[in-house]
Amino acid sequence: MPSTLATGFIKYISRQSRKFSFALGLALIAVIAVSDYLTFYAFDLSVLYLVPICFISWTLGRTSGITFSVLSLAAWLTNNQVISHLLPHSFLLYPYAFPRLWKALVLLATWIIFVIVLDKLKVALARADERFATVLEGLYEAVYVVDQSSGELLYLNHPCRNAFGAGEPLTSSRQIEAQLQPPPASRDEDRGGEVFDAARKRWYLLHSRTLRWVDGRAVRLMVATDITDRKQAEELSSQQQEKLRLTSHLITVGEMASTLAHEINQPLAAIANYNMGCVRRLRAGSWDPQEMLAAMEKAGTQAERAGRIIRRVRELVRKREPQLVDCDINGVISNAASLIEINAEKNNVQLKLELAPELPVVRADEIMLEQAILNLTRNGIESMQQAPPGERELTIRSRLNQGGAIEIEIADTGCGIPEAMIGNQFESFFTTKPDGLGMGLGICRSIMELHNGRLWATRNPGRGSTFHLTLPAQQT
Amino acid sequence: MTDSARPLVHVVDDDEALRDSLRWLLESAGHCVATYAAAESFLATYDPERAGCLVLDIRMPGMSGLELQDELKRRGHTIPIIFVTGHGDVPMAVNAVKKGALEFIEKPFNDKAFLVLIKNALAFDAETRRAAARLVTLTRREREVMELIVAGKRNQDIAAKLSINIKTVEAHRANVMRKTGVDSLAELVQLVHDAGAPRHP
Repeated sequence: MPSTLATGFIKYISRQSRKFSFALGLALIAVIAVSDYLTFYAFDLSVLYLVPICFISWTLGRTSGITFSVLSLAAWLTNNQVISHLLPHSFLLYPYAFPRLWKALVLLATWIIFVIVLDKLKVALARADERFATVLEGLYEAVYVVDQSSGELLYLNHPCRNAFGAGEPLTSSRQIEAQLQPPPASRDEDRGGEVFDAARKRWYLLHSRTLRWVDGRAVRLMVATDITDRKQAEELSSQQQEKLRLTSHLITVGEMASTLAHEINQPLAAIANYNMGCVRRLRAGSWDPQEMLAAMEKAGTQAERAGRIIRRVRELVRKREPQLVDCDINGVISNAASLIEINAEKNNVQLKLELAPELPVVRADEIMLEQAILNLTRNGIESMQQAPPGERELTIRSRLNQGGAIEIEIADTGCGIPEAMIGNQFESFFTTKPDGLGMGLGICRSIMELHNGRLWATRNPGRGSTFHLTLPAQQT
Repeated sequence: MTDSARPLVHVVDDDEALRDSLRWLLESAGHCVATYAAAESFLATYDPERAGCLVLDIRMPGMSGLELQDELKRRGHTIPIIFVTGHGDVPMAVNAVKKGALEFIEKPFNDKAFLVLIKNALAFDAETRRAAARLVTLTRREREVMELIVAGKRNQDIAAKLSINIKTVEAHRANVMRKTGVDSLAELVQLVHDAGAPRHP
């Protein structure tokens, strides 16, 4: 308890001004001198002068310490002189001048040694502290030490003040940890984790260790490393991965269709050639039955080859069974929109999303649904190539319709569907595009039917057309 | 006419069934047919002296049809090429025609249309060979003069360009007209055009 009082006192004093210390030192010297005078040297209080001297040299430095040593000596000598006039020699400790001077020299030397030693000690301590501070302040990580029971902040470095103490000065760890998600207190001791500072939108990797502080109490040392950049890079790369996966899936479907068309063409062309060769020979009336037979057999073999190709494709398609999961339709739309964004921008098409909030979940294969939406948006963008750039608008809406189903509308301001063709655009191989296979809409309709939904198109009152997709909402 | 003197239709296709069925179809029209599984084997055995035409698949492993076209051009062969294309290769085929191929046809095709193309190609080749044969008798100097005439140069320009006397140019000019048997400059231009790439003796 006394030691706490003393430390408290020293802390209090060191916060006061130089003038105050100076005055306090002088007052102490005066008190000692007066006490000495009043007791007539009966106790020899000269050793007590060390208190103001040490105090001054600790707070104000070596020069002031030496000054105070000299002052103390002057006080002692003056006192001694005065008293030696008042009292008979037999009462005095130092009745003669020589022993008195000798004692004065010894006192001065002792005090100055104390002053120098104290000064050296103080410099050494300051250096040690400085090294510690330079290292910690120079760190990139935010470091703070917190009292485990009271939550008082015992130390925090500069990056920590910058990161968490933008507003008021930090005094308690709660000021820091209240902003972090999940709160560090809920974690295991001595184990860190990634936390998110919601107020400043930064990610930290937090390490925590329990230590014994300099005064013996249990404290937690917290080191927070800012990993926001790394996190962002990771997120970006995972988004790109996802896009790549989807794109490659789409490419695969496209490639497959193209390869299929090419491969089936080969046996078909061969069959046609064999057949035409036979017909020509028969017409000309000059043929060798053996040759004709061989050619016709070869044509049959080619027909079988075409059949095998079709079977192989069917097996390929069958492998991709739909995987129905509960999904948020707005999320699927946003994903598809992010994939089509670049395409829209390139074609000067303004992409608008009008998504109704809090729609019920639907049970669907997300990738298939996304593909259907992608296909229809891509169609919409392509249909607007003739429209003036300022009027190219593609809107994707989601809402709950009167029938309680979720309806997605994809509206463009493009060339629209010719009157005569409305209704048959979902037939396979129907296309208005010069390089289209005419499979897209058919696939989209199959996807919707697989989800117990519907797909149909209407003409817009102004320009362009709207494709409507419905999906039954999941009962919750 | 013996078989080796008749024009030969070369078929280059990596698909065996297509090769074989094309031979079957072409032979029904009385053509001589040679088939090759790859562009490289065609190049190895091709005899430019024999008249003919080339039916070429545009997409092949190894050397593609387009690469073979470039290679033939580089070697100075003027054999007419008919490209056979599959689905989606039409832009590629159009490009090939721009680069000098005679025609392209999308498979599967109609026999009549195909055989007409072959007939035209062989007629084109014959025309080229006839024209080339008329040019082949020219001397090197006469040929140089002829090329400059066809390019639209006047006699004095030709004399200056070749550093010869204008009288000599006139003599060469007369020789060119006599040897090739043409009566006018227009006919000469037509002949040189028909002969295709100049064949230096």
